[in-house]
Amino acid sequence: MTASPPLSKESLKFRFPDVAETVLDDGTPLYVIEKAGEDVATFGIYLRAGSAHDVRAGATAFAAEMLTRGTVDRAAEEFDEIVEGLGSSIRSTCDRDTSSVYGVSLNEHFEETTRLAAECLLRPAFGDREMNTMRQQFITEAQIDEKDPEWLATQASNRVCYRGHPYERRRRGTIADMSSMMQADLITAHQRFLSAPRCIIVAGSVNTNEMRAMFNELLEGMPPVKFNPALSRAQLSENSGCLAVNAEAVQTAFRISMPGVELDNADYPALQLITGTLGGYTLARLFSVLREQKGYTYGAYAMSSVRPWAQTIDIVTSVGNEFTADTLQTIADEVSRIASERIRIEELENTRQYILGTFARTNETPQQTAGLLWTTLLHGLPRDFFQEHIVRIQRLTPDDLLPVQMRYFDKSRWAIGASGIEDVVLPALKMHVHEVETMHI
Amino acid sequence: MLNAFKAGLVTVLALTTVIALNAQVKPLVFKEYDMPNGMHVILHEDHSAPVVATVVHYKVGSRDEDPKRTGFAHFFEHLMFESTEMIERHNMDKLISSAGGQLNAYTSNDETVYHFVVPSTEVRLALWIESQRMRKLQVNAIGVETQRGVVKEERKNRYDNVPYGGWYEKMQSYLFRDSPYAWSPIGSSQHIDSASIHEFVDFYNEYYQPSNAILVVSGDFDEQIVKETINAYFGPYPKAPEPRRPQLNRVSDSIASVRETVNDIKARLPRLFIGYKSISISDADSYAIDLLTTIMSQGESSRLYKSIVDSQQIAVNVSLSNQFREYAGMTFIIGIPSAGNSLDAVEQSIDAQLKEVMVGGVTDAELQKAKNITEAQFVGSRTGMYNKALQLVSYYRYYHDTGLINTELDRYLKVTREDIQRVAKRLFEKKNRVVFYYLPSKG
Repeated sequence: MTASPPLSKESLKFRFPDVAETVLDDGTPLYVIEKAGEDVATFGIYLRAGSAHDVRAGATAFAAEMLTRGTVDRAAEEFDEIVEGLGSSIRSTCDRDTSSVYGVSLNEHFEETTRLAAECLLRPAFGDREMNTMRQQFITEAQIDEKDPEWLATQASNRVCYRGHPYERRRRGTIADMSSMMQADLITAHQRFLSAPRCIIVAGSVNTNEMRAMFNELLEGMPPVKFNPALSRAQLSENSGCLAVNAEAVQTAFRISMPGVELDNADYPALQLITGTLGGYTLARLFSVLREQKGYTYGAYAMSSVRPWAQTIDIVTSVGNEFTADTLQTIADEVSRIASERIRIEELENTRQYILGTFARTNETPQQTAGLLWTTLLHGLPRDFFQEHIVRIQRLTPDDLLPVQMRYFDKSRWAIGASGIEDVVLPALKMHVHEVETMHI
Repeated sequence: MLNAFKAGLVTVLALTTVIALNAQVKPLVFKEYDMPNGMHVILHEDHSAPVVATVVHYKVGSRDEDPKRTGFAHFFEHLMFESTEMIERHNMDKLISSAGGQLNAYTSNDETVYHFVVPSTEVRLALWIESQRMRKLQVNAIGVETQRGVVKEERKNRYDNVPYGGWYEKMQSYLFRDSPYAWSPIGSSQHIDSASIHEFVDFYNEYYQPSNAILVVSGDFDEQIVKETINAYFGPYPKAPEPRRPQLNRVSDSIASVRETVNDIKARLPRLFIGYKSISISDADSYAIDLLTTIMSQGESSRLYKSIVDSQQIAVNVSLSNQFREYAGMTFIIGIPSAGNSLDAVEQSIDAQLKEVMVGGVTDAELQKAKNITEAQFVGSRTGMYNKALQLVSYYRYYHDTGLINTELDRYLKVTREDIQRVAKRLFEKKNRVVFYYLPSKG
């Protein structure tokens, strides 16, 4: 039996997988992650218009999710029968910045599955009956969400992080928006995202030239790109808090944000290491103090949230009501500590190796690689961004980090979103931020 | 071009209605052996990514607990991250995380499973830590006190602070009444609070033994080196006696009929839960039940969705799920009424659909579609070192046949329409079931 840990002296073996890049006849970029021997292939068609670009709140989400609910050529039932009969899956959705259609299938049904996806993207029916079914489902889900503590805290956080910006809105709009949505709204939203800047990512045991030929045929008729997805930048409401009141809560859910940076900002690699040290994993400070020392929570984390038009550093946890005030004070102490003290080299090394290991662990499959690739495309980053990012992460020293720590970790810039009991949470919030508002959802 | 596009879709239709899928699934290669101390080892070497997953599966779950000490197995899962004779408190996490790895664990009714996913250079470290905590764990007051608080918050987070949070525990307690499956792994906070350190140590010595464990190593490693490492780290532990276990192989099939209305202060909408006692994981009918579940509930072309949500529009959502355990199972149906419809109406519609499948069976096309979905899922689920490790260990533990990872699909493909109808009757013909009506309450 070895008496000490058998740590390896070898350096981490990780190289970002190769991605083939080509362009369809209409200028749409096509990226192919070829991996021979995979039994399953996936594709994603990404369009740079999401719910933040809504003219009619909730219309993009409604239209995107309706894509698979029947086409001009076939009813929803028939469409479902065919796709599910192949054992394939086609999903359409949107987030704040992007609408997308994804598919997964066995290799032998990949072409059929992509044909069906193209059909639903280009020729959706937006039928009344299907719209009404989906409307009811959306409203039900919204009503369930409105009692969910984590969701409530996120709404409160959106208020103070994105006040007045399209990111503040709910992705699917309010229940009133859903109730009054018309077919014409969906058609308008659909036309908008079809004409948005786009790309396709395919992953699996596929051939780039064959994929190019196939998508050229399938997506013939896509309108030219004319939509500009640029938005104004969101401004975080510093030194403010918002409580979504949840009178029956037994825990308080917190989302604490500070201004962050874009992925290509020179400070980002350092910020990733600092945020990781504060709360990026189970060894990090917040988890150690709030869970392993105080036993207040099941988990406490910090992470960078990077959207094209807003960047924040977020701290997230849920704690028993009785620990609410001390949790906020503990987080404040930890933020002050990280803002002022040089991180010890050993602690930095731990975080660094964890982050580097994450790249290896989350790139086992071509589908995982496709996710990272999409991040680079969404943010307009060079294709070798993550490979270079790894190099930058490896070079940073505690002295490099300290000025970044001081620049970004400032308790006076907090924007706190929370859900919980008013009498419990409001006094705690008022101890830490100047402006506090309440939301009753 | 449009004609070519449509021609492609005609081909699709023809395929789905006539031809069964026949995916060429690559066999997953593995080796397995027993160590002299009884630990079973499964090795799957795969160099496609520089990653190794280790899984240690202990044959202990909440069903092994004393009814006066529920939550022990899950609580112990937390303690296993504390300290050992050679690893100080918090250092287990530190060693793995700072090596670029990730660690976690879970506890179910039947098992407690620990896993590391590490860069392939650190496989020896992962094995060393697992060997350390298998027999050298330190169970002390500071660890126990801290984890008591953490587990209470876990319980609030998962059950007490969310709408309908108690339904699953309640369902389990009725379906498996008078058996050790009657409580869930989170157990009772009071039981954990009143337990002594001595009891935790006894639990550890009973169940955390090599002969009660299965080790899987999956990923980018050298077989010879890993075998030698396993032998060096785990080999010195002696074989222990078989742990004491409650009698579970005769879990009663009969249950009392239960119908209960629950006023949930956290719920905004009414919701229906129906539960049936089901079969064990290794029952030969489990394949037919899986396919029946797919036919009834998977996707928007499934029976329950098509009929109750899409056609009748009585509910906005209906789902049917199965959970198999080693000695019994549960099947449950959840429905949310659409506006203007009642829980009664949803229940009646569900019952009509269950009756239809019991009386009329399913069509060839429905069965073929379910097999195709299963085949795609079977192939799709075998990605990633950790997923493969989990599947290997489950096949060994519950079927005593690790090779099923390559052949189990054949069992699904052999299921007939008659099998589906028979298992539908076996499941749903029982008079006794558990029904909960959850209603929003103003408090």
